[in-house]
Parts: sequence; C-alpha cells; structure tokens
Amino acid sequence: MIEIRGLTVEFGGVRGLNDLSAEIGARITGLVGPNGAGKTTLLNVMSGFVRRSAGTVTIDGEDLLRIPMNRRAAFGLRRTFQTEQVVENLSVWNNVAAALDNVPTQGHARRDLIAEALEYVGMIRQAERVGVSLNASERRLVEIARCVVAKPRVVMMDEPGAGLSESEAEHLRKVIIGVPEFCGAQVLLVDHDVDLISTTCHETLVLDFGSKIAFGPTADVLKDPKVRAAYLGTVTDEAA
Amino acid sequence: MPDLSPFVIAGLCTGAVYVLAGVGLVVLYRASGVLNLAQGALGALGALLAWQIAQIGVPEWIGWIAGVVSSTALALFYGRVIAPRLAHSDPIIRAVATLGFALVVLGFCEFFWGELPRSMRLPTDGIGFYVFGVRVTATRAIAFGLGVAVTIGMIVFLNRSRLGLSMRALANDREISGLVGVPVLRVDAWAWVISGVLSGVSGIFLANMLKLQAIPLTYLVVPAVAAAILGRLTSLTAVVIGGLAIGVIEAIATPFPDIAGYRSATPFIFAALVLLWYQRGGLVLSRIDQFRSVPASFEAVGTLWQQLRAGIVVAVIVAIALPYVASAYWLKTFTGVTIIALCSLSVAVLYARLGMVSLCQYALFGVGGWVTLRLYHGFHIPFEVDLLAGGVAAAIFGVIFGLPAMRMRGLFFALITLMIAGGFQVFINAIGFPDGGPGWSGKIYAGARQFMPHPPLAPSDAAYFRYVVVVVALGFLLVMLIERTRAGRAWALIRRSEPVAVAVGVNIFRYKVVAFALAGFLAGVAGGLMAANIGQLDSRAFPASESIMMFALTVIGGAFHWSGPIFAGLLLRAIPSLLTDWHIDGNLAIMVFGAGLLHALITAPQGVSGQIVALSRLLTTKVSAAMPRIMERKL
Repeated sequence: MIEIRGLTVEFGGVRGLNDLSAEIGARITGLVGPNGAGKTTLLNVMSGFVRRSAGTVTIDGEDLLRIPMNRRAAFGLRRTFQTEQVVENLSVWNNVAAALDNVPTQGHARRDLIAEALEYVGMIRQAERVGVSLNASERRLVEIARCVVAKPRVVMMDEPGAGLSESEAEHLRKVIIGVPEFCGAQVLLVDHDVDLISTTCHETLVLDFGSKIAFGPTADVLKDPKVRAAYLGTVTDEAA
Repeated sequence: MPDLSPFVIAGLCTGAVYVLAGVGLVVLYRASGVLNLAQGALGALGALLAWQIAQIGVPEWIGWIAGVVSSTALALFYGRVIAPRLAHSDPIIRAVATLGFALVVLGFCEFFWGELPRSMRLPTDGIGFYVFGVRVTATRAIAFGLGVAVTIGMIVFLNRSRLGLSMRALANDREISGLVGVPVLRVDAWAWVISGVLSGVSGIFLANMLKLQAIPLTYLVVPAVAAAILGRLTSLTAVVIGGLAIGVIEAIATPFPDIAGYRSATPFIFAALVLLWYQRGGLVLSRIDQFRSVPASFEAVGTLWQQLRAGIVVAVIVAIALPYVASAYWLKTFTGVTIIALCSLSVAVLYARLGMVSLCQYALFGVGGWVTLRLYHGFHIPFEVDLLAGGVAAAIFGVIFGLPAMRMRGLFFALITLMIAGGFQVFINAIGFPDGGPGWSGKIYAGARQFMPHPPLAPSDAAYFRYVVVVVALGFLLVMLIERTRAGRAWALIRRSEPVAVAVGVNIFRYKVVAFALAGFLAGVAGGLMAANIGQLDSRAFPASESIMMFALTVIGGAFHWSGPIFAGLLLRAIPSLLTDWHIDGNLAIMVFGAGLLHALITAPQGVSGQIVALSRLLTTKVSAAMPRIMERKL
C-alpha cells in the first residue's frame, strides 16, 4: 500500500507536483499523463533524486522519504529508468548480483535468488553475456530482473515498453503482469502506451500539470472525458 | 607582530589578477560548460610573446596587444576546433582535455623560451603613490582597478546585454537554447574570446608582479580555480571575494618565517576548505542520462581470464629475460618503468572503473616514498614492512584530503586532487625527503646523505628488477580480485550512472572512498619501490605537473586493459631516457603527450592498449580465416 499525501515539488517557480494525494493499493497501477505531467517526478521523489517541498509518501505505513536514498532498495523500493541502465561491463548475472549486494537475502542462497529472477524474466540462458552485447529488449529484462530479485515491496518502471517490437512488447507485458505474483511487490508503471496500460494495470492514476485529474479502475479512468481531453483524445484518434 | 599593511595591499593587487583570471574561467564555464585549465598556459604564452616583441625593439604596447591577441586566438581556436568534439562528454572530461591543451602550450613555451627566469617590466612600474603609508605602483593599482571593473562589467554584461542573455541561456541548456534560436556556436565563441582576453591580460600582469616563466604562470590557473570554486564555478561575486582572499592570505604569510615556505599552498588549502563546507548538503548526484563519464566500450579488451593469462605470461618472460639483455642503465630504467606502471594502474582503476579523474596520484606516490624512506632510516625495520606502511600512509593521506570532494560531482573531485598535487609540491619542497637525518622530517642538512639500499631479498639490480615485477604483478592481481567482489560491482554501477547505483542501494560515498584508498595504496607502494630503486627521492621531481602527466599518459596508454599502465610507464620513463640519448629536447615530448591526451579523449578512448588488442584480434581472425585456404594450396 502506497499512500501519497499532499506531495508538492517545486522547481524554481514551476510546480512539478501539486498537492498530490492518492492511496495506491492495486497490484499494478498505471501512471499516465502528457509529457511534463509529473510522472517521472513522482518516481524521482520516491527514489530520493528530487526533494519534495511538502507532503509525505508512506509504503506499508513506513515514511519512505525519511529513509536515506541508498537504503531504499534494501527497504524494498526498486525501479527502472526511462533510458535503460544496464551496466555494460558486467555480465547479465553480475548485473543482478550487483543489485542483490545491497539488499537483504532473508536467508536464501544468493545464487538461487539471482537464478530465479533471471529465469522469471527469461534471461537465465543469457546469464554469462556481457551487458554491452544485449539488445534493447534484453536490457529492459535485465533491469526488471534487478528489480524483482529478493522480495521488493514496490517496483517502479519508467516507460519500459519504449522502442520494443511487437513480440518483445508482448513478452514484456507478460513479465510485468506476473511481477506481483512472482515477488509480491506492487508495481507502478509509467508509460505512454495506452494499450500496455489498459492490459496490465488494475488501476490508473492520471496526472496533468502535476495534479491528479483522475484515479480509479483503469477502464473507468480511460473513459473519463477529462482524461480524454487532457491526453488520450489524440491517441485514440490515431488508433482509429 | 610585524606591520601587515604593505602585505595586505600587495595581496589585494595580486588577488585582483586572480579575480581577472577567475572571471574568465567562470564566464566560459557558464556559457560553454568547459573549465579551461589551460587558461594559465595561454596567459604565459601571451606574456612571453609580449616580452619577445619588446626585446626586438618594437614599441612595448604593440607587444602587449600581440600577446593578448595571441592568447585570445589560441583560446578561440581551441573553443571552435577542439572543444566541440567533446561537447557531449562529461564536464570532467572536457576540463581534463584542456589540460592536454595546456601541456601543448606549455611544452611550446618551454621549448622556445626555456626555463630562464625573465622579468616583465611595465612603464607603470616606476609611477607610484602612497596608500596608508604604503607605496603602491601604478601597475598594481591598475591591476586592482581592472579586476574590479571587469567583474562589475561582466555582471552588467551578462544581466543586461543580448549576448549576455544568450550566454546565460546556454549555461542553462545548450540544446534548448539552440532550438529557440540562440546562435550557440557564435555565443560560445564569444565566451572563448572573453576568456582568452582575460587570460592574456592576467598573464601579462602576473608576469610583471611575480615572474615571467612558463611553468609558474601555467599554474596560476590554480588560484583562479580556487576562487571560482568558492562560487561553485558560477558566481562572479564569489570569484571576487575568493580571489582577493587568496591573494591577501598568501601575502600576509610572507613575514612569518614558520609558514612563509608554505604560503603558496594557500589556494589549495582554501579550495579544500571551501569544498569541505559545500559538501555538508549531502551527496550530489551526477545527472542521469545526460553524460557518460568515461566512454563505454569493453568488447575490445577481452575477458578477465584472457587478460590475466596474457599478463602473467608477459610478466614471467620479462622478469626472466630482461636482466640478461639490458645494460645496467636500461635495467634501472625498466625497473622505473615497471614501478611507474603500478602508479599508473592507480590512475586507471579510478578512471576506468569509476569514471573518477584523480590528478594527484604522483603526489601520493611521493607520500608513499616519503614514509618508506622515513621508516627505513628511522627504525631499520624490514623493507617489506616499510613498503606496506608507505602504501597505507598514502591511502590515508589521499582519503583525508580527498574526502571533502567525495560527495560532490566528479569535476570537483578532479579539482581537489589537482589541489592535493599542488599542495604536496609546496610541502615536499619545504621539508624534502628523509635521508637519515634527525627529527621528524629525517632530513640531513649537514654531512653526507644516506641512501636506502635495495631490500636484502633482492640485493643486485637484476634481482631488484624481478622483485619489482613480482610486487607490481601482485598489485595488478589485487585490483582484479577486488573487481570481482561486491566493491567491483558497485564501482561498475557508479560508473554507469550514480542515480542507478543509488537506486539499487549502493552507498556511493563509501565505495568511492574504498576505490580512492586502494588507488592511494598502490601509488604509495610504487613510491616506496622507487625510493629503493634509486636509494633516494628528489623533492624537485614532484611538481603537480607530474601528476597531470601521469593521468594523461594513463589515458593515452589505455586505462581499460592491464597493458595500458605499462605503456604509460614506458612513455613516462623510457621515452625521456631515449630522448636524452638522442639529444632531443624533452619539451617536445610534453607537447606530444598533450596532443596525445586530446587525441585519446576525442577518438581513442581505449588508448594504445585498446588499439593493440583490437589489432591483434583483427590479425588472429584474418589469419584463422586465411589458414584453411593456405593449407589447401599447400596440399
């Protein structure tokens, strides 16, 4: 359960987030909105890269923003980035091992945890390959493996579907849908691809200019006229 | 208590020239993102040209103009031709590239004008007046006036003029500025012109007020950088305060004999304290997605095991064979090469594994040598213990002084290491290396100096060469082992991008400290080995420029492969010996190394070793592809 209360972020005079409040309880929640709406800003506040001006974020009742940013991974907060961030001079296996180095293993063998995570995303056969040799889709999967290893609480993904082919996107979709069951984490998914959002997310939060304009079950939200006006209208026109 | 007022006034005038240079640095950094560490070298060139022209009987004012114009033209040349090729690199790389340019200019000046101290006279030197009973020459008064006027002028210019507005836009975001119609290249060029003019003017003033010599003038970029650091490289007002403060502190230390010898360390100490103050705010992350600190391509260098195998083979062959084939002189030289390779490895670990630029590894090498010598002469404990202690001491020394910059962005770390190198130069010149004397410094002032012999395990030169090969190989192995631990994985993450490292839970500060300590240890051990190779170390051989050279040659040699540091060792130790043999001016080598650094940063990020590995791989694939056909023909 992620509870956001009165979260405000100011960049100079601009409000990146404007008094945002939401109780996010669904297993997979979509986060959509036009460019500059504050989606990535919200993720960055939760990661600790951006300082809030006001408000709180709690996860399972714990005040997230009080935890030092490099301890948040151990607390259970993981994420991917808009541009992939696989470490190119480490093997696929070591990419995941590097993430596991800093989180508690709860008595499980490290080898098993890494192997399970790679197996889950379908990269176990590629474990010895070096990061630099991976294609875009494989890199995304390695990043997700880093996120799901050793029981996280919340996994945040920032546009994981960007630039993938149809079949790759299909595999990615399955991986994302299975995350809550695989590791028990809640997923926050930022993406522009309405198709991906509507097929994976139980609930969706729509932001515009840093404010919440709609929040609820995905199907209802996507029908909301306010949402269509702000963002989705053009997309559905294109689709038609 | 001596009367300080003459020193305060003299210090204010020198400080004003630091301000001039600092304003040039800041205006350029804000507009183009380049911290021009070649600024001092450009000023030196301008001043020397001005002097030369006056020597041949042309009116002096033509010389000054020619000097300033040439500094400006060179700055513009760099800004238009070389800097754009690095426009998408990290600010550290862009700053370090200007060091390459500085080496080229410095080598050129030294080649033509040599190290003879000259003096630059200005007609205003004879005119003077009294302020609070202290005589001030018109030159100093003009310098002070100019420092103040230029700063105010620049602030007004940036805030009021159209060009100033464009510069501020560029400082904010180059690409967006370009999109909204700011002529990026033209505005950029103007920033280089401003910085070039200011470097020429400040060069001429400093040549007059201090001395007309290329090396000291080149290093006058350091107080300017220190002043700029006070304003986080962006605030002009802070540059004024910083520059004047450094000038005054330097000057008022003069009448106190106990500290006068250390007064030129003022900018280094000043900058270190400022950074210590700034890093209270906590960790400052480099921006994600924007830069890659070090060019990333690892395919050409091979896996760890391949590297290890090749390295061991080379080490064994060289250790056995070289003493049979090399003369006594070349054997000693190659011992030096091997030792320098270990020092270069310490640069390579930081640069290739973490993307950290350390410009003080040769100074840490000196620290290790000092401690090893001191322990040997003082306590006569086994050499191996002295050596380890030297390594540990260098690691501690580096970490203590590098700590203030560990939470800051990479550029500040590079700058503070430059400060460490400069500070060490001042201190080691004041205290010297121990040679068996009494007291804490262990320095003999009267009587014969004592030398440290080779260790008992390896008494002959040949045996000591093998001893060094073994120790250095252990150093390489240590690095490879640590790379395979969680520290190595954390380094890889940090190098990839600091936000990613934080997001997976890496304590960036801790792992940077670990890396810097390891690098300090390796450099310190190398210093101890060198002390036992020569028997003594020369305090004059540790100027900050050696540390810069160390970095440059490591990048040229190739930081990503084990053989890179060995190429660096060859370049630093064997090439100068060859040049002396052939009676070629060593300053040419400095120019070539400077150009080599630029070349490596721009087009060959893996350096010589990467190119050789790629070439040998190409040959093996060609040969193995051609083999079946050749065999067929034979059949």
